[in-house]
Amino acid sequence: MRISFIKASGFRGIKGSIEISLPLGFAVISGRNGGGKSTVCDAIEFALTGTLEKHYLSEKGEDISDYLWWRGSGRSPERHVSIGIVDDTGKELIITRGAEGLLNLEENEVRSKLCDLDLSPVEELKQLCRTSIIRDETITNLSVDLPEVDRFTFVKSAIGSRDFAPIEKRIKAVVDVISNQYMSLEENYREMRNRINGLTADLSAAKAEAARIEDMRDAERSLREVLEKPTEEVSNILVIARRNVAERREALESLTRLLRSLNELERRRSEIETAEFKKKIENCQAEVQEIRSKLQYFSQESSSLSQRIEIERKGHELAASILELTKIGKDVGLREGKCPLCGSKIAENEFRDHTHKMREVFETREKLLSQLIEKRDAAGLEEKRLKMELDKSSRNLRELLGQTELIKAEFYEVENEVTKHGIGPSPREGYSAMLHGEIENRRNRLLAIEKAVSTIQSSKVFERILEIERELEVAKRESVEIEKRIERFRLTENRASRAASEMKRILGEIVDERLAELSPLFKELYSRLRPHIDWPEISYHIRGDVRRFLSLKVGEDLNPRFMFSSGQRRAAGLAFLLAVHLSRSWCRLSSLILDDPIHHIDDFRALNFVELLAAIRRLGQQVVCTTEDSALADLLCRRLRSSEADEGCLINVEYKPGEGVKVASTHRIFPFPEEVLLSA
Amino acid sequence: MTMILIDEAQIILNEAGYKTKLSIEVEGIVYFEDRSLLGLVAVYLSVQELLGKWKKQEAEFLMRHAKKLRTAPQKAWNVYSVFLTGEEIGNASLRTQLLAIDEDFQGTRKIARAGLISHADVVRALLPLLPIQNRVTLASEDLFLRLRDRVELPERSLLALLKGVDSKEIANMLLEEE
Repeated sequence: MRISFIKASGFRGIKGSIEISLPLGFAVISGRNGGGKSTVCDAIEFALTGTLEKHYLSEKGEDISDYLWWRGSGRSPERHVSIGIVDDTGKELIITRGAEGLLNLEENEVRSKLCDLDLSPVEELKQLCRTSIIRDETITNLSVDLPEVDRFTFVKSAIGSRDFAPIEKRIKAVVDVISNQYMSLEENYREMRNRINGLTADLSAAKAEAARIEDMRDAERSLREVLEKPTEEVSNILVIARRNVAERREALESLTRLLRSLNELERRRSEIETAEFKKKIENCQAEVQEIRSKLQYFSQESSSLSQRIEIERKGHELAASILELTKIGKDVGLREGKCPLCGSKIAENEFRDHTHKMREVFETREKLLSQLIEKRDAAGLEEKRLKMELDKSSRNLRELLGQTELIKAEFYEVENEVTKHGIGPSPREGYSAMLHGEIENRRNRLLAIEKAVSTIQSSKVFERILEIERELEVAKRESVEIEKRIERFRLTENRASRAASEMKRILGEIVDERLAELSPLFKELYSRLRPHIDWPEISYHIRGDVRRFLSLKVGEDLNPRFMFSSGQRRAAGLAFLLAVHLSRSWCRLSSLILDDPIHHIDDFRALNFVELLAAIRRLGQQVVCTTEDSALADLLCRRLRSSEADEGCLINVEYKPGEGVKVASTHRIFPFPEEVLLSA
Repeated sequence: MTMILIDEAQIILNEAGYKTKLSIEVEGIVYFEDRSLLGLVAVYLSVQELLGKWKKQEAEFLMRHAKKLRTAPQKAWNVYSVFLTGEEIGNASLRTQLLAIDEDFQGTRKIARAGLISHADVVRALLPLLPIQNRVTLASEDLFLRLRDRVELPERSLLALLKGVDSKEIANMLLEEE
């Protein structure tokens, strides 16, 4: 990218407006002192950065910002500066800046167009101007006369693939962040340790106080004895005691239930051992016996009646048949005084009596049979009833006789359960009383424990002990947690510190390598300018770890700053600044602007300088050079190689009183014929 | 030696984009010209010969080519006369005389050098005519790769560092990764 035009209105020494078209090859701007040559260079810097760095000092409360715009007589109609920058495709970027800043673009847009932001140093546009615009007054200031530390910084930021300072600063900031947090954690840890120590002392005091209180001490001692925990912490004793009380209460409830069962069993056993109960069994046995006898009688009676009924039924059937025959004989009547049935001679009345009597016999037999059946049915019913009664009485008797065994079994079961509670086998007498006594004893022990627990719990000292113990536990946990974090921070801090140190070394190495790459160019440019006849070569050395120094050396370790005349220092300085200018990998602007660069330089070195600019032109660089020396201007126009593609021009500027800077004339520098000497 | 030096000079000028031509008239002279500059390179066996002949040869050159030079008067200002010898300068007096040739602004721009025994010596002698020889092309390197191999930081944190992420955030990343 190269500068295609500069337009300025009301800027510095320009009252009205000027416009200078710059050819892409070179422009030589000539004029007398105060003619506006530097203003043209200033316009470029101002358009890019909004300020003029060469005027960094202030005086009487004023600085360069008060003198950026026309301060002469009259008012300037406008105040702005524009520059055009074209890229290799011919596309033009116009940057216009007024008093209030950029008027047509954003700063970032300008930065990104002109610089490779991945590689550029900080304040890229200022750095671009610092290394593109070489001014008469800053040649030695920025080179030979620059302190070694500043010289190193200047070269490093100008050529560095990027300014590493922010990276170094950032990693240092990271280390600081971690260190601060680490220190803060250490402080927290110390506070926590103090707290733990304080709590431990409080706990110790509270325990001592508790030991001095009689009730509390007795309660604690009794609990320790009961629970068989002579060395346990008080707080733990209480926990164990509470658990023990619950277990004891449950056991007591169980024993009480067993005692109730035992009492019921003993009541029942005493009942079956009475004379009344025995009489009841005897009665029941007699009753059974009686029922059995009756049942036997009625059974026999029933059987006997059944046999008689059978006999009577057969006789009845015969009687019925005879009665039927009699009936038939009666119906037939006497035949010739003879019985129709047997043929024997019989009288009529006798025959009638006879048949009547037969009828009476039959009816008597029938009546007897009915009576027998009735009697047998009655005997059968009685037998059935007696059987039922016998069942009932037998069951009653069995129940009465089985109660003893049942009581024995249940008693054994209760005894077993009681044994499980650690109470020995039942004595012959007074088991219930013994169990009752044991329950009473146990209840008393439970009450004693509960009282001891209650005493300890209700003690304020103990409450304090518990509170302190809880706080102590929390504090110890937090302390362990902080310790772990501290360890993590310590490791991270070490790691980040090592990284910061290694990074600083690597970044330093990269800068050194970059500077080493620059060395041959610097030597060549110095050699071309030949500032000193006895020291045709120059070198530089970098030293220092914390602060870095860049020293220029000629001959045997001699410092040109103190060896060279002002003209020679300027020549060496130009070599230095031009080498820096040509080494910027991040800058897309290929324009070298020189503002009256050869003051105090003799003709011979001026010629060398022009030849060097011609060589730079051959790299495709646009060269803009101002000079008050018209002969030098002519020399530049002849040597800076005008071509059809990259033409040159000579611009004369002048200052007209009251009107400010004006462009007096512009001359195109036409390319030379290609073959003069070697033409046929 | 003479022939080698003149050859060396011609090769260097050719490489620098000059058209060159060996003088038919005078041995040990080569003419050169490009879009902007033109002139001759004359080679001598000794410093003494150089000191003795340079002025005559410059004059003869200007006379011989005066007609052509008059056709391009502006370019004619850019005539270079280069006088070279491989012989070392014997004493300070000769050295002073040699330097005086360079600073003689009459006629052409003159370059007089002695003790040229290598290619680099000839290049150094012809430097005013040559383009920049040591161009710096600072290759942009991947800073991340270079740092990654040597800095004991997790890649994620290193990238964040290079990308300008806030230092507190990077510190937290490191603590998480620890």
